[in-house]
Amino acid sequence: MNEQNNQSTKSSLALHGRDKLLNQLEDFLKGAPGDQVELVLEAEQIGVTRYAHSRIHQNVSHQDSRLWVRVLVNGAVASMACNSLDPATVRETIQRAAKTARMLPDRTHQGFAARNDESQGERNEDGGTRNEENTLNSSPSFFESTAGQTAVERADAIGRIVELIGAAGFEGYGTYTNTVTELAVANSRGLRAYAPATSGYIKALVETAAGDSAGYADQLERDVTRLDPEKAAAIAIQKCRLNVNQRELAPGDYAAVLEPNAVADMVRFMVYHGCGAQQLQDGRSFMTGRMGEQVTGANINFWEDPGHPHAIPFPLDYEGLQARRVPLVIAGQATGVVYDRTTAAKEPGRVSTGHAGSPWNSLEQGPTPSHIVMEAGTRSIEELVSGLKRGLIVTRLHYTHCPDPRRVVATGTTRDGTFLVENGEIVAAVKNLRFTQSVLELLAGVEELGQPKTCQDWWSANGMSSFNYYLPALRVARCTFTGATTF
Amino acid sequence: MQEEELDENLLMAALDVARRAGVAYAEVRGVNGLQNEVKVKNGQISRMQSQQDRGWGLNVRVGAGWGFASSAELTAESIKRVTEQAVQLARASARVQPSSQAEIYGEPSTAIGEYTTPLQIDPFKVPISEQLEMLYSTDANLRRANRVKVAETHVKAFRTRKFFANTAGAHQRQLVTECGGGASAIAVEGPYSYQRTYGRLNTYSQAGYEYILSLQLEDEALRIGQEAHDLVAADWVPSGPTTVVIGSNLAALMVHETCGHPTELDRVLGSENAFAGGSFLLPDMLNQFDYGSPAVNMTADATLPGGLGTFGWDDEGTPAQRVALVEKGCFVNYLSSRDTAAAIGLKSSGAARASSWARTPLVRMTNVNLEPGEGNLANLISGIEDGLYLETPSSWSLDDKRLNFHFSAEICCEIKNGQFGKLYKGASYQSRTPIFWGNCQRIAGPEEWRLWGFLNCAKGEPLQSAHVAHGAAPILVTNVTVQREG
Repeated sequence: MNEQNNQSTKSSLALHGRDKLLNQLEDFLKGAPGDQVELVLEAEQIGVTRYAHSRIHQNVSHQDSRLWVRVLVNGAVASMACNSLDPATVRETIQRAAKTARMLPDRTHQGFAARNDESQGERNEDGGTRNEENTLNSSPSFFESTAGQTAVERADAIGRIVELIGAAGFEGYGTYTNTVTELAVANSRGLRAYAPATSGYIKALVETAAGDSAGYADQLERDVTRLDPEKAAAIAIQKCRLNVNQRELAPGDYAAVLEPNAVADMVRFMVYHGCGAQQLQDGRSFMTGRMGEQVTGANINFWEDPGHPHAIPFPLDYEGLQARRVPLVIAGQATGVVYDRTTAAKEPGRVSTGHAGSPWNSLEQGPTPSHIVMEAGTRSIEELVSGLKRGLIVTRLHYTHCPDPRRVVATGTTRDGTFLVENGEIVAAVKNLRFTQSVLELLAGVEELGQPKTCQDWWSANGMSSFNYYLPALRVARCTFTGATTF
Repeated sequence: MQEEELDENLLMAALDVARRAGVAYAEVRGVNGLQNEVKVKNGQISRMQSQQDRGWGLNVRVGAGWGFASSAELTAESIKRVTEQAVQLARASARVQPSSQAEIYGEPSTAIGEYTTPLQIDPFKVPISEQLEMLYSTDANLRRANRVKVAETHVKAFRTRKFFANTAGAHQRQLVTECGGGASAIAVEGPYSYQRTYGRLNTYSQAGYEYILSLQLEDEALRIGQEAHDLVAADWVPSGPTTVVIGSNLAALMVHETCGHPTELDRVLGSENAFAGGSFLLPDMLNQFDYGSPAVNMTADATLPGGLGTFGWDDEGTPAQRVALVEKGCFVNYLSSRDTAAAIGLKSSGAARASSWARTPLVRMTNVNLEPGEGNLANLISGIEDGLYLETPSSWSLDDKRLNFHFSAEICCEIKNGQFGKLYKGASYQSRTPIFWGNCQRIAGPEEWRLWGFLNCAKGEPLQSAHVAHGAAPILVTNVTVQREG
């Protein structure tokens, strides 16, 4: 390593704070036109350091504040967004949204929320609430330690990773990302909501110089002091050492131990395509017509839990409502989906569960769970493997997709360590395989649940989505592989 | 929402601040972006929005370390702060460099000029009422078939004003206008739901509103809705090896995934190993490797009118180029940037692109095309006794070196004795890139060739979602094993 510059450099990420952001929104609301106005402000600061061939090749920082304006006139809503908080620009943005709303023929909007605990639910005829199983657990989402981290500290953590990797005779690839985000929502009906969040994410991919063996580990936390770069490096090095002389294995059905990162990719398609109210209302969810029925094995239980300390907690949604815990699949039965105010309004007595998605997401998937917690066991991955007579260990999956959302068929290739196990022992590394199977079928055959891990699916780990999971490794009776690759 | 001019004087001042900070090289890029979208779902407006996004970024090199910092604020104070950050990041990068790190940096651009999208009708001046009238009509047509439960249709327009300058003297202004629209129908029948789209929503062009009118969304909606209605109740596709004809839109996505990504030189050199993955196309395979059959010619052409990958200069200031990637089946070149090309002794192919002011340029696709062959679609299927026609992707997945792939098609139709026959649902196929393109026997001609615009090519950390385009005509491929999805 070069020691070209030991100068201490400070470029930590600073918080705007509740008062500053909500006061700013308050000022913008004064004298705003339209029947109702809602402002969503998202401030984001990101530091990303990437390394390849054991050197930092990209190091970036980014700060932005994006304001989303929704104006309601005579039941019609128009939206405009800008990334300038200059008062004149914001006033003009609100005026234009109002002007557009006046021209719209649709007059069906229900109006904005008046208070941010609306998602707690209202009493129904039975005296209960539609969200009665929900509890709000307010685990902290913001840590000063993460916001205060500097580019030098990220670089030095990577330095320690690549030093270990180099000492093992390999090359390192990966990323260290830290973020500070703040969400503030205010509207002319009096709703005021604010929450800050931080995250730190470290990825360690270890490869031989020839690129013919690889191992991987990652760690995601709200608090960077919990990150253990050396441990991630050690796990990835161990995987890479084992992942040699890969054997070509015929596609087919195998028992398997799926590590948590791979399980997240499977569960992703259940929640993305099936656990939001819009999918259910459109008739596209695996729960459509099956609410209360068995959809997986009885040992499968998972919830949306935005307050869970290990599921990257965040207390609000983009309508400023408190995000609630929602059971999704309990004892293998289709149990519930998440709602925003628009989808809740379509069902009498229903209220939002606090899951309105980001207005900047152009996919318009509707409300979607993004803090998924699955009931876990206590056994380590090694202990799950010990119970495998003949089967595979899957470290993680790459570029997964869902060819049939209604049946939740998932496909993707294994990478960075796929191993053949016989009588509880790894007997060979295996060339990567393509998995293609209904996740519902896969989860109907779970033999054992291991220890949980905070993780993301492949899409979210790479910034294309924002699903966080706290879920276990699984030993499954049948995992279907339909193809193989050459490495 | 109004467009605003970029303050070029302040942006140029950032270069002066960077020079004074002692950088070896710096480039600055200011971007003002506007985006409009109108969307109708099941007879109601589901999205009516306009977004403005503006800011600037500075990329600097100090020794062997690069740093990029950006801000939405463009003021004398922010220039000082952002430049300081970029230099700090570059110095932090320099802390983790092997002592053997070669100082090979490509020649920086010195190009000066302006580029503007030619257009007939400014999409930002078309009245909302006119756009809504077309979308309501499209939506109603989608839902005429009674199994269609979800109909969605939209139009979008983008305008990007960009200024680039560097410490080598390059100075460029670009004004790019893009727009397009789409339509989608989801039919539900018993336990099945099935989506049919107009070109998988890859119907975008660098053009004016005249392009949206050319899409004929209202007419196409009738076909799409009916096909969704028919498909949800159609038989599952028969599995097995067969001859397939793959339609232009699906072929275009295959070009994207199996040629575009593996020819990105930064992937080849390892920069994306931990995210998007690497590539099977290694430098020692250049001019040696049979990527496909002699019928297969692929190009990256950033000069092609109408493409979302068309520009005057890339985001390192390198002029737009047309580059052959595959010639008569042989792999001959990469998509590259200044430094990645220099690392293997080549010149940049002008493919360094950043998705916004807040992102640093990466090697991205431009307009990566499968060059046309001869004849129309009827000619292409005329000699097939027994085969399948597949059109429009519904899912896609590739391994991390872009060898093994899995594609599914929205619609599949049997081919019997040179004629189209019965409709099937759920067709997917899996193969390896060189095997598949090696079995590509024929490509239809220019009359069937169409340029598609993709809005969401994802790569890089933090994520960059790029606008790219791909042209393709239908292709005939033998020995493809078709499977029922899942």
